[in-house]
Amino acid sequence: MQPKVDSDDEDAGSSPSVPRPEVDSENFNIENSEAEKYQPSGPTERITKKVSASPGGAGDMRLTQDESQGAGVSSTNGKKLLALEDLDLKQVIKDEVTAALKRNADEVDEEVQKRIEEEMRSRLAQFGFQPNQIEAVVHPEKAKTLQPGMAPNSPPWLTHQPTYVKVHKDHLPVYTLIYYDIPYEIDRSDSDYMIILRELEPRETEILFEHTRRLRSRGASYLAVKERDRTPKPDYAQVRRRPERTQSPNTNRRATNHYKTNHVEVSPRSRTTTLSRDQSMTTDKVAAARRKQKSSKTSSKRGTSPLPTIAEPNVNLRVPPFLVWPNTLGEVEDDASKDRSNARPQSSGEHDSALTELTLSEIEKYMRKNRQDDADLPVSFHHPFHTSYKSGKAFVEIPEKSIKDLEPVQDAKSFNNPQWNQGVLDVRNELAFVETIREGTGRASKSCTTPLPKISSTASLKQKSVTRIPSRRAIQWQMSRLLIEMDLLISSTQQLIDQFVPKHYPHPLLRKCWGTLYEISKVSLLPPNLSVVPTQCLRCIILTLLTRTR
Amino acid sequence: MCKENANHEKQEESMASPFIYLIKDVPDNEYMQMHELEKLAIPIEICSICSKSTRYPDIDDAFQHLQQFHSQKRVVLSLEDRQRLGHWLVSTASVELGRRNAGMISLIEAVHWRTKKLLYKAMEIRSGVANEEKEKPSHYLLPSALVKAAEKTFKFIFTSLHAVRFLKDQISTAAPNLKTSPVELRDNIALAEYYAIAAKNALSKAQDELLLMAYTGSSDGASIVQYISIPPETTALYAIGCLVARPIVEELRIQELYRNHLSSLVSTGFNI
Repeated sequence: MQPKVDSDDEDAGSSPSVPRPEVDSENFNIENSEAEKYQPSGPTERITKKVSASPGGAGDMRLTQDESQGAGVSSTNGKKLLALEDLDLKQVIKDEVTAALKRNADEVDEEVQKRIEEEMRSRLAQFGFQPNQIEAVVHPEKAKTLQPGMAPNSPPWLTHQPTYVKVHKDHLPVYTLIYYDIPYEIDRSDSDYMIILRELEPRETEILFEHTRRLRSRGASYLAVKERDRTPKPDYAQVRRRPERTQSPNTNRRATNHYKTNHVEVSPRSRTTTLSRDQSMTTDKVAAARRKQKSSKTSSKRGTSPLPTIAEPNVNLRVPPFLVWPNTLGEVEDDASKDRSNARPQSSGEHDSALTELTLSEIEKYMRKNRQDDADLPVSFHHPFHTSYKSGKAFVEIPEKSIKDLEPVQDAKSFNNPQWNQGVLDVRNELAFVETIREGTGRASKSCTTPLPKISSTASLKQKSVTRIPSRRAIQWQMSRLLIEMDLLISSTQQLIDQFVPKHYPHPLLRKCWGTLYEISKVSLLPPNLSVVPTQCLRCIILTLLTRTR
Repeated sequence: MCKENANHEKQEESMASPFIYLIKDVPDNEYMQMHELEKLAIPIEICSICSKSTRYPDIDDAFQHLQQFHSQKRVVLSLEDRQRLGHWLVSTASVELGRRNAGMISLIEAVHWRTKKLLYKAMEIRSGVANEEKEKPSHYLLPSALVKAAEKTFKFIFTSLHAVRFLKDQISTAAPNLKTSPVELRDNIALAEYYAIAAKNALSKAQDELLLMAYTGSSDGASIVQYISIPPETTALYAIGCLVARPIVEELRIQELYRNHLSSLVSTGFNI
């Protein structure tokens, strides 16, 4: 810009011509600002003011004090006028400078912002952030408008910082943490505190404290019994005993007097029931007999030990189920009953059946009682089982079903349902494989060589899809595992019941067992579009699938 | 529960938008065996990135991590590699479902394991009392511990239903973002096992008593179930008592039914 240099003093006619340098605006700006800054107050100082020559501006001039003095403007009024003009000029200059700065800044800002953003993106990418996370960092307002599923759950600055709880050992014992498999470490600054290395929800915290409370409540009675039994006595029966908190003091005393207890701290997983018996003198014989039996049998382990090696049930065994065993009936029969039995002889089968009925009725009656010993249950008070247990309905309100509901349905039409092959949850391959493994480990590995069926066309299509996970079939695997486990559970439970009572015995208790299995099996039944009749046995489903796949 | 899984699969199949993936380990070794997978050079559990459940909006990034870090291979990913490594990739929506399934499986497994233990124990006892003809000698009587074991066994079966129901309800009603707590799963397994352990102890005690009978040849000292013979009238009364105590309809007993019937008769009589 070419500044126009002018002088107002020309009107006075006495001003010599002054060299007029060309000033560029930027230099001017700086000089002007500095001139303003260091403007002296003394009248004798020579100050050169360079006025920006803005087009059409009012400040096209160059003014020196000498010139003004030379022009004879020396009066105070003149000075004031000059000062006012000077102020106006300053204001004008300021406005101009601000406007220019703003224009420049806007232009520069956009470029700088772009450069910064690019640099930031490249650096975040180098650090391993994903594009959606970077977008959330750079433009937080855009993160909200991303499609569902695309928004990063953990943008870097929003990454959830875990809060670990520090707790005193007196408030939460180590055993509770071990029981629930919760990682922890001892606080280095104070060994009485532990830091739980996992975030806990309030519900979980309640469960932990309740477990502690249960432990302590058992521990208190345990200690009390231990204190009473400190007197040295001959070593009688070594019987594990669970402290019974609900007993009256008299009962406790009686129990303590009669039974010797061996205090073994029992884990909640391996709680033992009260083993009360009157034959303290005979336990040596029991121990001797047990030793004798152990010497003959090598595998008689307990607890979490592996299962005994009874692979196949002895089918030729003619020992009746437990509850059909005879008892002392007949030894206490009076004459009148003898006469009645002589008059109408009763067959042994009817007799046993009547006794079994009586025993089962007593068991059922016992289950209907209200309970107050719910504190020993290994679940928190929030669990619905607590309520039903206390009200006596826990073992009563069980659906009853016939064992036939668990048996294979003979209708073959149901199994020809083509929906088995069309469903999204096609578990045939997994079922076949799990069954093969089971047979291979349990019995002969005859079917290990059986080729597995090809994956269905639906699954093949899935593999080709780009957006989907190509090969993982964990859900199908889990469902097949569930089906197999349920099948095994049903057969094992039927066998177990058969050890006590004949499994076809008509009694509500048994019907409730089948009802329980039926209800549990619902978790692994396929949905309506895949499953057939819901009353079908899982075994049928599995067998049918295996038949089809092989 | 199976329904939830099927719905989930349907939903994933119908979704057009790409998923966000996580790297998770395969369910178990049998799964690897079935799909003929080899173990990764660096397991998933020791990888700090995977343990933090790092999300991958781009599946290629996940494959790259699996290939370069876990498989320790620098070659270009082939289609076979992608199919093989895809077994370790899971969508975010499937993670929680898989965890819930695993919880239910572990609960059913625990119940089955306890059932098997009890079964083998009972079979051991029955086999133990058999003579050469595989029959029970007459001197073996029914010890009360066996009745107690039967009661605990029934309780164990019924309680397992409560535990399964709890988890099932939680799965069906829980919001998708609500995680099933492992602490609660642990509690439910403990609940299911509670009476099984009691039944096992009762069976052990019964075994002791039966051994004692075998050793001494008599039932002296063992607690045997005793039934007292009573006249038929008492038996009939007892049976009626049991019948009356049992609910016929929901919360409606015979006494109430009879009372209702009487009152209806009375009202009918008044009307006449």
